[in-house]
Amino acid sequence: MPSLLSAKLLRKSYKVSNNPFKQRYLEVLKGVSFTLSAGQTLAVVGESGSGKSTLARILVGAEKPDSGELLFEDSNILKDSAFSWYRNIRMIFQNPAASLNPRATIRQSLEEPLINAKLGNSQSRKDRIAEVLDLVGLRPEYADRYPHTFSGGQRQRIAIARALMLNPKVIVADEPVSALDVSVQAQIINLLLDLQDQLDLAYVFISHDLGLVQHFSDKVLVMHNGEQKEYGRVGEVFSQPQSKYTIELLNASASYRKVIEK
Amino acid sequence: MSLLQIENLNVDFMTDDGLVRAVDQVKLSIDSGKVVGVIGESGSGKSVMALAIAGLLSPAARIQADLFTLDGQDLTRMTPAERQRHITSNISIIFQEPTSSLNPALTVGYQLDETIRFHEGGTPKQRKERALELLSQVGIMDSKRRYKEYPHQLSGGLNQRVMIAIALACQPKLLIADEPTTALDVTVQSQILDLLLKVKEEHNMALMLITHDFSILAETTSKVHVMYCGQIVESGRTYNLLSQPFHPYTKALLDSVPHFGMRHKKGRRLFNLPGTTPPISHLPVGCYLGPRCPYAGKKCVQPPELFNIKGRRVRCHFPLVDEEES
Repeated sequence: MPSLLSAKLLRKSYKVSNNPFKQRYLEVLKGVSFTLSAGQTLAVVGESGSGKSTLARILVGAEKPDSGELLFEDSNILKDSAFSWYRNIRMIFQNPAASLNPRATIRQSLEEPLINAKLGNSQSRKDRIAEVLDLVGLRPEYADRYPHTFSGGQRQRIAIARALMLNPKVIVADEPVSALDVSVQAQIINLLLDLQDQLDLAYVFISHDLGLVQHFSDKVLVMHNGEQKEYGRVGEVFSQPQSKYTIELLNASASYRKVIEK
Repeated sequence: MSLLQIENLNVDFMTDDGLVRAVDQVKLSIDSGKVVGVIGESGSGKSVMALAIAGLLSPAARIQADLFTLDGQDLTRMTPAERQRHITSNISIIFQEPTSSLNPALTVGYQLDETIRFHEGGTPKQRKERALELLSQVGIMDSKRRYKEYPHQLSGGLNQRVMIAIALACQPKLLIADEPTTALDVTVQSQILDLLLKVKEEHNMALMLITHDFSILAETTSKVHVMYCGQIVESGRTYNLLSQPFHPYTKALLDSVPHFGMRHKKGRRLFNLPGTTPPISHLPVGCYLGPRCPYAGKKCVQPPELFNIKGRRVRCHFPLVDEEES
C-alpha cells in the first residue's frame, strides 16, 4: 500500500529558560517515525507528558519540528510552502464543548472552513453543510442551532463534521471520545469507522484506552517521555511487546474480562 | 449489622423545571471491610448520592430516607448538627480531581494539620508527627519535604495520595472515593487503587468506589450497584453481575466497551444504545430506559419495581434470565 503520510525522525524541543547564559531546552519529541496509508488508523498511546499532543500539533502544521521529515503523498510538506494543511489534514479535539465557538451557530462553524478556502457560493456551501451533517448522522435542520443545545455526543459529531468540510485525507483525533460516556463513546467510534469505510480516511488516533486502540487501529505507536518506545501492527505489539514500558502499560490496563476469566 | 444501611433514599432539587429527583429510591448497605462499587454514566446520580451520604449537599437539596443508619445510629432521628458531627467523624470522601480539591494557596502540611486539629487536637508537635505518619502511610517517601510543599509542586498521583491522607486523618469507618483515578494516567491509576485497598485493610474501613470503569470494579469490588437516571437498576455480586448481566442497561454498558486482550479484529462495530441518557428533568414515562431499550415491551410503560432474582436486585420487567434455569 502506498504511504499517504509518513514521518521520519521528528524532533522537537522547547526552550524552558529565558536566561541567555543558561539556555535550557526540554526535548519533547526524540525522533518519531511512522508511515500511514489511506484507510488506515495509527494509534498513538502514552501517558500525559509523553509528547502525544505535540506530535498531533506537528501533524496538523500548528507547530514546526526542529528536524525530521513529514511526507504527504511523497512530498516533504515541511519544506513546501504551497501545501495547504487545512485542506488535507484536520483535527478533532477531546472536548467538543470547548472546541466549538459557543456564540456561533453550527452553520457558521461549519461554513468557516469553506469561506477560508474560498470555495463555492452561498448556495453550494449550504448544500455541502447539509450533506456533511447527514454524513455524521445529524439532521440538516440542526444547522441553525447553537452548540449548547446539543448533547456531548452530538457536539462531537458536529466537530467531526467541521473536520470533514474540506474533504481531508487525514484526520488527527486527540482523545476524541474520552470526554464522553461509554454508551455514547460507542456511537462515535462506530461513526468514525463508517466514515473511514466511506471516505477512505486515514486516522491518527491519540488515546490512552488500550481496549479502544486494539479495536480501532491498524498500527500503534507507544510513546514515553518523548521517545518512541514501540511501533508496529496492533496485533503484534500487543501480543509480543518488545519494550519494558509497553509491557508495563499493558499490565496496568487490565480489562474486567481478564479478571473474570481468572 | 451493616456499617451503613440506607433504604429509599431520595434527593430532590428545586429547579426552573420544577422539582427534580436526582436520586430515586436508592437502597444499599455496606459492611465494614468490604468494597462496594457504584457505576453509572454522567447524570446517573451517583455523585449526588455520594454527597448526600457524606452530608455535603447544599441546604437547597431535599434529602429523604426511610432508613439511614451509620455505625448503628439512626441518622433520621438526629438534629442537623448531631448528624453532621456523626457523619464527619465516620465518613471521608475523596474526589476525582485531586489538584482542584486541595487549596492551591496552602501547603500540604497546613491542609493536613487543619483536619487533624479538628478531629484529634493535640499540641502542634504531636499533630505534625501524626501528619508525617499519615503521609508515609499513603506511600509518600520524603514526607518531611512534601509537608512543606504546595499542591502545584506535586504530581496528580501524589496529590491524590495527600487527599487520601487527609481523608484518613479522622479515622473514618467509611471512605467514599468518587472517581478517584479518572484524572490520572493508567500506571498511576493502578498504584492509587492498590493504595486504597491497602489502607482499607489497615484501618478495617469500608470503601465505596464510584466509577464508570468496569475494569476497576472487577479488580477491587465484591458488590456492584448500577445506576441510571438516579435509580439503582441492578445490584449484585461483582463476578455474577459482570459475567451475566440481568438488566439490559448493564448489558449495554458492558457491550459498548471494547475489551482489551480479546482477539484483534478491526472494524467490528461496537454495540451501542440509541440516543443519550435523558435529562432528569424530562424523564420518560414508566421505565426510564424504555425508549432506548432493545428489549422493551408493552409492560414497560409501568415503572418497574426492584425485583429479587437469584440473589440480585434488578429493576426491569424483562430481565435477561434464561427461563429454563429459573
